[in-house]
Amino acid sequence: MGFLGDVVNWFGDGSHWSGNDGVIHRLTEHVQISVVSIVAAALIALPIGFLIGHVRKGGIATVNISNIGRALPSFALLILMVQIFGLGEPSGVFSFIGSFPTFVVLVAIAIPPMLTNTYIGMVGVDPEVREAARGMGMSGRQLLRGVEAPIALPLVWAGIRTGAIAVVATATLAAYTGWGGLGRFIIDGLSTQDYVQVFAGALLVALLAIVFEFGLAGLQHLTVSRGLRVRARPGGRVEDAVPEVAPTPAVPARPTG
Amino acid sequence: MIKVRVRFPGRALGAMLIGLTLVLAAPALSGASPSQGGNKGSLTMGSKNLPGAQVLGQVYGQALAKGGYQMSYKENLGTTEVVFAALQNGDIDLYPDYMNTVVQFLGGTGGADVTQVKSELDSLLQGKGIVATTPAPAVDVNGFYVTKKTASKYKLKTMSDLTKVAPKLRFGGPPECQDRPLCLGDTSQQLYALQFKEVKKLDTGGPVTVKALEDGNVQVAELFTGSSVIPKDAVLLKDDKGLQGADNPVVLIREDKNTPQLDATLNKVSAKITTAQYRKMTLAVQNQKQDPSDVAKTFLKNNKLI
Repeated sequence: MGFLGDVVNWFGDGSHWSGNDGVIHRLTEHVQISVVSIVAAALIALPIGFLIGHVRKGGIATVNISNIGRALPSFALLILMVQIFGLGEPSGVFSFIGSFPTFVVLVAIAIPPMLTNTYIGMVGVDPEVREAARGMGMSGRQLLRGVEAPIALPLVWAGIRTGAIAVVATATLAAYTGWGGLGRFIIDGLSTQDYVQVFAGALLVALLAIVFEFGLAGLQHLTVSRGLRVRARPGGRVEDAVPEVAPTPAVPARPTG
Repeated sequence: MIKVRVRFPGRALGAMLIGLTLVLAAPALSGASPSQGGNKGSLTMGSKNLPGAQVLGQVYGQALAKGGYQMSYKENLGTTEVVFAALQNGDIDLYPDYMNTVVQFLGGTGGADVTQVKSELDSLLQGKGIVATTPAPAVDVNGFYVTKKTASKYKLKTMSDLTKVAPKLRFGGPPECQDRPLCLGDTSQQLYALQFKEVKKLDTGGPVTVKALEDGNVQVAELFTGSSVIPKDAVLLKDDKGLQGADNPVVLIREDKNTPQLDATLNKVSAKITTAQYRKMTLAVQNQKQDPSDVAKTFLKNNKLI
């Protein structure tokens, strides 16, 4: 109980919550860089995924190129980015990015699951459904927006959620470049052998990841068509193909670190 | 710049190359006398588990081999606690360590003055059957660096000069710096009272800190004088009030193995080990993953010691 008791006391100490080094400020920074990176990655990955899934060309090549982001160790990429951009803390309009080297790393790990799942979701649309839509006189754009994208959406969300969890966990690296985030508790704690603080920081990261997961699941629930939800009409054919709850991601969660 | 701790393939390859060289060179060597000084007996050299300490072990060992001693090595043994005990037990006959570290390990106070710390070391070693050589000039300690531009802009030469202008400057160093007495912690505050505009927590004497100093993200950076890559443009501020310990390399020798000749050979080598030379050797092993014995050989040849 000793160690866990210390952790509980750590959270009970008001001085750990306020100020520049406090939980509130670090949590805000962590959420900031995570959200910015997830949104940026989605803005890059989803249009490309929808497009290559729609035209059904160049999918394998694109997915493999994006997977470079997963193959590169995040820490190595971070140091490389620091060598190129320095500490890279933008001021003015772009200050919302926080730490540019970390931002690049986070976008690089978030793109592959988002892109791959979007592509797989699009390719998985039943050819008969596409034919029917074409037969109704739909244009390519109408087919994409009205038929393919909504059907692919549960898998797209699975990709976003997988990417988001990786981003929240990996954003701890921002502390290594002198920036903030919850990683400060972990990195500073490790370098002063303050393992209570390390554990507290890790716990906060884990809790934040869970919050993101639930938040995104909520967004998914709001955006996915009722007819595509498993619980709405179990037994249907389409529903079997694309279950909403805990869909098996086409790309397994990336080990972080 | 990224530390990858996979040494064995390189080592194995190096060993194979050395082996091949020996096979090829054996006929040529057999006629030549292996040393200048004749056979002076055999010695076992130990070393600590730090890149710099391993190079030092090889530097002193190869110089002694050249001087006519039959050398064998027990390298990478551990920290001072382990290696000092091995020396006392007679598992090894001598090994290089760092003066202030040994003094503190033996319960002394240590300090910044080389002469004082040496005499403290000598008195602490009395009755233990161990003697220490004259310290080498090198030190691997916390160094506060600025760029030449910053130095000339604020007329900075010493750490004391920094006290007044610190509030205008950003500092970058290890995350633990403010908790460490010799970095920005209490002892440092008592001597220099450095209150920077901002303290950036970066890496521990590594590439992030170096880059931040080069780019001007920080104006003052804490790096290690003997084991960090020091940017060309950087100036070390003189520790004029003696914050950093006199952690100069010394060789600790079992008294029963020590001779004036041995001592003279070691001191001749020590005199050449400056901080810049020590850093060059440490980085060759630590960052470029070169073999300590090759690095030591190059150093000894360049300084005409073998």
